[in-house]
Formats: sequence, C-alpha cells, structure tokens
Amino acid sequence: DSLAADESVRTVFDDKEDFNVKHPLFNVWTLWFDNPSHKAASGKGGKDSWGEDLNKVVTLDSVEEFWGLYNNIIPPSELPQKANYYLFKEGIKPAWEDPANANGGKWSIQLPRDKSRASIDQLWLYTMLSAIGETLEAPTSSPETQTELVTGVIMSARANFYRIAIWTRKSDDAASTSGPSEASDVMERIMGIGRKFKTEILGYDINQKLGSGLMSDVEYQSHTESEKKKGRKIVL
Amino acid sequence: AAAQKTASAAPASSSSEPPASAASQALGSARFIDDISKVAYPENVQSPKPELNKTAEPGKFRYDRDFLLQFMGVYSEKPLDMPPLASIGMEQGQMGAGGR
Repeated sequence: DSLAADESVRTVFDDKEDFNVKHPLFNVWTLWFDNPSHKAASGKGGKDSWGEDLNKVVTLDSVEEFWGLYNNIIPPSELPQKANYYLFKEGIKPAWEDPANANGGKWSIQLPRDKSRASIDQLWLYTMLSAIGETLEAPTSSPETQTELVTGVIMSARANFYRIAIWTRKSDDAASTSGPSEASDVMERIMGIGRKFKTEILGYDINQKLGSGLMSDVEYQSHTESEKKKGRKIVL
Repeated sequence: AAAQKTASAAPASSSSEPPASAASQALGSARFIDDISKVAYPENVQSPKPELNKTAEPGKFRYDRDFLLQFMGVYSEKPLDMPPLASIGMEQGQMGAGGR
C-alpha cells in the first residue's frame, strides 16, 4: 500500500540515530556471565552449587543489539581469573544439566594465558560472531529432519589459560541419536563444526598440530565422556 | 518477547536512569528486515554473503563475519535492559580504569 511504499528503508549504516530497520538474528541468544571470585556477585554468599553465581546479562535478537552489548562489556583479556562468558540460544541454560545439552558435548581449545592475551579478545569475538551469524553449521536443505546442533559457546578465563568451547546438542555418543544413520549424520556435522572452529575462527591450518604444554589441541568430547578420568576424545 | 524493549523496563535503582539515546530509541522502534536481499546498503558497506541466504525464510538470516564486523563502530548503545556491570561481578581483573 501507499504507506509502506512511502517509507524509506534506513539501516544503521544509513543513519545511526534514526534507522528504521534492524537485522534479525536467526536465533535469539542470551549472554550469561559469572565470576565466582567476586564476593558481591553472589547474593547468597554460598558457592557450593554451580550456577548460583550465574548472571543473565542480556537477551539479544538483532545484530545491532549484539554490538551494543559487545561495546559495553569487558573483553576476555581484562577479565579476572575464573570468570566465564556463556552465549547460549534463548531458553537453554549454559549447563550440561539442561535437556538441550545433556546428551551433547563440546569442541574446545585451551590457550596459554600469557601467549594468548593479545589474541583472545578477537578469537572470542569471532566465536560469538559465527554463533550469532549461524555460520558454524552448514545451511541444510531439509531443516525438518535436522535440528540445529549448536546450543552455545563459552569463554573461560583461568589463571594460566583461556578456554573457548562450542557446545553441541548431540554428540559422538551413540545414545544421543536415534540410530546408526542419524549417528553418522550427526558425526559428520560435528566434525564440520570442529573444522570451522579450527580453521575459520582460530585461524589454524586444518592439519596443524597444536597440543603442547598449556596449549591443547582442538578436541571434542561428549559431556558424559568428560566426566570420566580418561574419557574418549576426538582430536582435530 | 524481545520485540518490546522500552525504557520503562529498566528496574528502579538509586542512580537516575539516563534518558534513552536517539540510537537506542531507533533500535527499539526499528522493524526487523524480512528480506535481506532487498536491502540496499551504502556504497562503502558490504552486503551479507548472498550464498548464506539462498534458501532463507523471511527474517531468518545467516551473516558472515565480515558483514557483522562492520557494525562494530556503528552501533554502541548499551542495551536498556542490561544490569550495571558491578551488580553481576563483571570487573577488570587487572589494574586500569574502566571504559566509562
């Protein structure tokens, strides 16, 4: 109609202060944060049960809002030890107990703190951008049969290292799938996520050997296996 | 649910809330793009890679990193419903002044 035809479309690039369209995210995402070493952060004082210090920072549904958030929080390189960022799809708690995570697992890499301080902020940003931009998983032609695998991404700051992880809804654990054909499909997709993580986000060559000292390989482990002492791992 | 984020959602606090900036208000009232292929960006701005959205449903888009990075210096308003960083224990581990 004439009203709609009248109105010009202005993105934030056209007018920072008077844009009238914004870029929707494929999924709605929630950023969570915890810093267990911070006394005031935990109202209850007790720190026995995990999750008590977990704070919801904000829920995001547009690209613009993501950057509004990003430009107003502290980058990983400046976080105290023990603090974590968790960026998860709305409705999924960043814990393995959540039904969306219970049968899943994670790709992760551990990076030595000293050597990575200069790059960790960018690596975490790239991880978040591939999550909200939905480029970790290849677009599929038959979305009905394939639920998205990624549930969230996590950045952990520790005394000697940083860790970045990408959590998946299903895993290499056969029990997480309905049968052999789904299992092989899921495996293929999990490996695809790992390859993107290693090459496009972290910037390594796919065959590069990484693990030594405080530096780990890019590795995948189901949450069940990571409970075990010498749990099964996939190394890229 | 996330569609309506107005200034009134801010929780009562002892410090007075600054009025929402023009940019924040624009974000609050802006519509979601439903057909990304129809958006004409200014000359110096790169569109999202079209191959990511060949089969996109309305409002469900994938964005490449280079496209997303272009927003970094363009939109920086703090989300209205974001809690004060101190209240969630988000503080710098090293010495140094905060950003604001």
